[in-house]
Formats: sequence, C-alpha cells, structure tokens
Amino acid sequence: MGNTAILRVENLTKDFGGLRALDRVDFAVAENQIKALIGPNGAGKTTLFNVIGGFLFPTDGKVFFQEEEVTYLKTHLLSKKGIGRTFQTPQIVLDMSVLDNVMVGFYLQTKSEFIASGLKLKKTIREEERVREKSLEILDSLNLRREATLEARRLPFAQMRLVEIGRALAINPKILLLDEPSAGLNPYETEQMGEVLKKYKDLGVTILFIEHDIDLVMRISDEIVVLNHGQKIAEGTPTQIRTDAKVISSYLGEAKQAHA
Amino acid sequence: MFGTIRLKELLIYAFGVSLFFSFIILANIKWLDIGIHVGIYFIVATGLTILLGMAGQISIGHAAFFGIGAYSSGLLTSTWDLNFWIAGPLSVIFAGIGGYLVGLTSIRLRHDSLAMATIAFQVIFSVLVYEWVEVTGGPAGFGNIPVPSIGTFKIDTETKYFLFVSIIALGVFLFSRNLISRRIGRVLISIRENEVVSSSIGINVPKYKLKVFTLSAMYAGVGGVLFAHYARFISPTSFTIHFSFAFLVMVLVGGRRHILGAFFGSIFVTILPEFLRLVSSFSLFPVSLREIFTNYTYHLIIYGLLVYFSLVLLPKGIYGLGVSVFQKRL
Repeated sequence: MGNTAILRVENLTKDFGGLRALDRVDFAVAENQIKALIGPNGAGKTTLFNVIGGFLFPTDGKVFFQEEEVTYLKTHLLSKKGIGRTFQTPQIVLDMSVLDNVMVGFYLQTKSEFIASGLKLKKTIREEERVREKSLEILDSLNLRREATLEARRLPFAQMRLVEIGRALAINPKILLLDEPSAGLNPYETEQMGEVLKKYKDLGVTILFIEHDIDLVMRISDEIVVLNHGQKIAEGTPTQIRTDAKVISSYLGEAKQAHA
Repeated sequence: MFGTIRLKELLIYAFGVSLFFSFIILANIKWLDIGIHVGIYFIVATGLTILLGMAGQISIGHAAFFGIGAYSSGLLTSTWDLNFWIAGPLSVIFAGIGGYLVGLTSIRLRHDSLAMATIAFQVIFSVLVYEWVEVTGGPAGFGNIPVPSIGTFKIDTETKYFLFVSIIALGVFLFSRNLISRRIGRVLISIRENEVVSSSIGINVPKYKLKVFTLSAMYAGVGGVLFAHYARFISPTSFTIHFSFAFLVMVLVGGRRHILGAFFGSIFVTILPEFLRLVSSFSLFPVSLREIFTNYTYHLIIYGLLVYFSLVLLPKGIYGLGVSVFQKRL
C-alpha cells in the first residue's frame, strides 16, 4: 500500500445540539487507495463527509489534506486543493446536456471571465474546445460518449450517477469522496460501478466512499473503516473486517439478517 | 463563423432582418417610439434574464438601476456638459457600482434577503430622486438632455434613434448569448440549481452571485442611458417599483430560460397598454372596466395576473411556447 496519507482526520468530533454525531474519529486514507466507510444508518458517515468536504465545521478535531491542516477551509477552496465529491442522490443539472454537466466541472482549470466570454475572444474559444475534448474523454472512460448531447434528464438513474462522477473527475481530484455510489443501482449496475472505481484507482485517484453494499465494499476496497454511533469501531482490510467480532455484532450480522 | 449555420437558421435570420427593415420603412412615429422602448426594455430584461433565469437570483429593484443610468447620464450631459460617449459609459459603471453595493450587503445572507435588499434600494432611490430637488429636479424632473451625436451626426429623429438602440441591443444580445453559452453560463446555471454542488467543483458562489448581479445592474444602466437621451426629459415616475415589476413581467412572460424570451417579453409588455387602450374603446365593456384597462396604476393588477398565469400555464414563457409550436410544425 502507499504509505503516505493523502487525507487524515484526527480526533474528529461533531455535536448537533446534544447529539454527538461524530465522536473522536481518527483514520487516514493512503495515497492511491480505495477506502470504504461503512456502518449502520445514523452512524455519522455523511456527517463525516460533510466535515471533510467543508460543508460543516467540526466541534473538535482536525482534518489534514496532504499533511496540511484544512479543517476550516470552505468547500470551494478544498476542491481547489483536489477534493472532489458526489452526493447520495445524483446532483446534476437535468436540463443541461450530459456534456455540459461534465464541462462545468472544469471550472477551476479554465479562466474566461464575463468580458472575455461575452466578447468571444480567441482564448475563450480555444479554452472551450480544450474543455470539450477533455470532457468527452471523461465521458468515453465512463462509456457515456454516445449520450454526450442528450439532455441529462433522459438518462437512466445509473448513468446520472456516472455523469456526476464524471463532473467530480473533471476537477482533476487527488481524492474522490463518493457518497453511496451504488445506491439505487441494480446488481449489474453496481458491478459496473465497482469496475469504474477500480479503473480510476489504477489511474492514480484515491477514493473514499460511503457504502451499504457489503459485497461491493469487500470486492473493491483496500481498507475499510466502520463507524457506529459516531465512533470508529474498526479499521482494516476486508478480511480483517469480515472477522471482527465487534463489527459482526453491530453491523455485518445485522446486515446479513436484513438480507436473509 | 457562418460555416455551421444550417438553412433553417439562415431563413430565420433572413426573415428577422427583412422584418426589421420593413418595420423601419413602414412604421410611423408612434410605432418607432414603441420600437425604441422595446429595444431599451429588451436590454434591461436581458440583464434580468441572466440574473433570474440563468443564475436564479431575483431583483425587484431594477428600475432603480435603470434610473441611475438615466439620471447620471442626463445630469452629466446637461448640467455638466459632458460628452454623451463619456457620460453614457460612466453612468453604466455607476449603475454597476450601485448593483455591487446592493449585492454586497445581502448576497451572503439568506436567499430571500437579496429580494428584500433590492426592494429597499428601489424605495431609497425613488425617495432620493423625488426629494433631492436641487440636483434631480424633484417630482418635476429635468429636461434639456442632449441627443447623442457621432461627430456632427445627430441621432435626433425617431428612425435614427431606433437604429441606434437596435445596434446596441443587438450588441447586448450577442454579448449575452456568448456569455451564457460558455463557461460563465454553466457556472451560473450550476449556482441556480445547487449551490452546494457548485462549491464542490470549486465555484466561489457568493463571488459569482455578486458579479452577475453587478452585470445585470449595468445592463439596466445601459437601458437607462438610452432612455434618458431619447426622452430628453426624465422624472421619478419613470423609475418607480412599478417598472421593476414590469421588467420582471417581461422576463417571466417572455421566457426566463432564454435571452430571446426577454425580447418577446419586452414587446409584449410595451404593446400591452396600447392593446388595452384598444380593447377599452369597445363599448361592450362597462365604464369601470375600461377605467382599469386605461389607467396606468391598475396595470399592476394585470401584470400580477399575467405573471401568475404564465408561471402556472407557461413556465417557459412565450419563447418556450414558440419553440414547441415550431418544433411540432417542422
């Protein structure tokens, strides 16, 4: 495994009024790793994402990105550093084309402001072409090239989720935070999603994802963090997690029963 | 530039151009006057379309920015004797500064605070021009605003002014179309749809809201400058909240998702009083109803109904209706 941590949270705590949603959570994501964040509903997974992503500030604790403290940085500055994310339900613009939905992700890598765009200066046209090229490449890698000019609302749900991932990839992220990439997908689509994530890992992207689909987690993760009631109850490789007594009693056992 | 234009588009352009020139040749002074107003309102409504339709932010005070453009350019050219080509752009910048300051106070706050701030600004502006008699002439307004001229060529007839406004409106249209079809357009739509997502791709949301609000106020300023030098006399009644509503009606009824909506909307709202006057001349209506049709103040009732029905029945406005009819036929 890569040994340098790209993302590290230290003693992370978040209170909502009297409710402790995160309780002294510590873990690190190594470079070029796929790490899963699992746990029962209400365990604090999405809260953790929101704190890392700068949508919420923690009550206590710190977040480090590439060994630099980023705890209180706002979201748009975090994306500038290379943190991309997707949401539990795909948040794309339904009445824009698939291509435009990815192109908007190139915001940070382009410069044309109001006047240059309005006057259609040469450099904005060149920039636009470059961004279109690159976006089509991303769509290609997600098997969406043929859908590029379609209005996004015409896509099936699974492909909307891919478009959202495409937009997150467009910011050229060092780490991707994915909130339940398999939610709403059928088993076949889930498998495809797993392949996509593995492909991007091979291309050098680090991935931290929240997931309920245990099969997917076990199949593609290098490491897993298990949260329960805001606390980290286990961390390790899929094999270690599968046999962890605490995890089985609080989550996996329960998940198995639910599946049965 | 013309390489990719298809025949159908070429026909539409040809139709538009010939319509434009037949209008110039055939229209009498009254219709040219209406045409000039349409051009001016189109510019303001385009700015509001970018703000409301693209970026999802509202302004109920655009008549004040319109007024800043008109009053500054009017005063700078008449009292200060400044050249139109200096005073005009300067006044547009003033309108932009006004927009920037209003935006600055409210854009970081909750979503509806911008609406409140613009209403407040509208009221302040109206009171100011009404009460500051020494400068603005107060309720009586002021006149002697010179016509614009290019060298020795004076733009002093309705036909010339109509052409002048049309050229500027076309420029504004092209600028806006380029703007919203590229990077900035995507950024604005993204902000309209979801601010959280926008910030997750690196967009500094408050900064762009402020920028687009400033730009929109500048568009209103351009309209105001053109208005002042056409009317050559201005008074507070042309810049009341009534007009701020009228601009919103243009955008909503015309179609807020496309800048051509502003064009249809400005035609619609400008012709509406003429149409109502015509309707009221039919004696089948009772006198009280005719009063509503012809009295300016009551037009707000009609605006309200129009906005309500267009939002419910025609969310994409006249433009959207036209597009769907056109696509079904062809």
